[in-house]
Amino acid sequence: MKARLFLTLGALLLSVPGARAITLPAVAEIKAAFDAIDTDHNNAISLAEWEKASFALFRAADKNNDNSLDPSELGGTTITQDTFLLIDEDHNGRLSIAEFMRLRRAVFIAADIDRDDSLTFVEFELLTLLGQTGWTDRNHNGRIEPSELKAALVQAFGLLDINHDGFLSAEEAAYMLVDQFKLSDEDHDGKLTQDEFIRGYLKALGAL
Amino acid sequence: MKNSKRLVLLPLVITAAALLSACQSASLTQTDSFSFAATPAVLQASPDILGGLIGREAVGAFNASHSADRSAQRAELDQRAYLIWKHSQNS
Repeated sequence: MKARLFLTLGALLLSVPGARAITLPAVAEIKAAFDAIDTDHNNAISLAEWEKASFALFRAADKNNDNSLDPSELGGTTITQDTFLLIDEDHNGRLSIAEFMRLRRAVFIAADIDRDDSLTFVEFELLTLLGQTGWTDRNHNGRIEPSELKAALVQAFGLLDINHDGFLSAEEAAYMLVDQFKLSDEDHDGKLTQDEFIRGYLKALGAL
Repeated sequence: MKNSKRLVLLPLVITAAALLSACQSASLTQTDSFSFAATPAVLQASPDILGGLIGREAVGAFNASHSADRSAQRAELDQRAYLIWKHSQNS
């Protein structure tokens, strides 16, 4: 009975626009992932490093070793299933290595906000954040433009500000590198306004 | 004489090929194992290997570029068809 009540509440919550729950990893986990992909430890992920990691992810997901991924091998979020349908170009219900790698390259290109053909930690952090909070590619060029980034960060701030007090506390921004938080916190009050949050990222990306 | 030279060279070539192949597979194994060791850490931070909402949005761009490619191809075929038709009118 209780389980059913939770399910109903969950369904109601999901049906309310903007009430999407996000579960971001802690900064240590994001850093561990970044370091694992950045195999030459130069604090930037090159496309080659990204593709090598992507290939390893494909192999790890391909449980039945048939050199393709079916939906059951990808886990079950709605977002994943939607993306699956979009990239399964030959509509055979499976992702080939080529289809998968094409998508992974597109993700790299989108995440490379400063267009220097590598991902810095801030770009990787944003990839993790916006992967859950969303981004709208208004001009359909597959890249996160500065204006699109600002809009995406406004949306992200709304989702991160769990207590809706108009600020992000260190706990609410636990996915963020401490240095990034400090860089953003212009008035040093230990919390971030929406403007500080956005300016902080633009500063870190060299866009301010 | 030629045959004896060949007989001497053959084992050398085979050995060289075997060494090269061994070196390549050793290097591949090293590279692959490094990536595979990294997989759990990457999955811990980003369980959706299709890139979540970034992936879903990014895929729209390459579908759009494919569609642009197809339009360009169609335009080229139309142009060719027009030239063939024009040529047939002249002749």
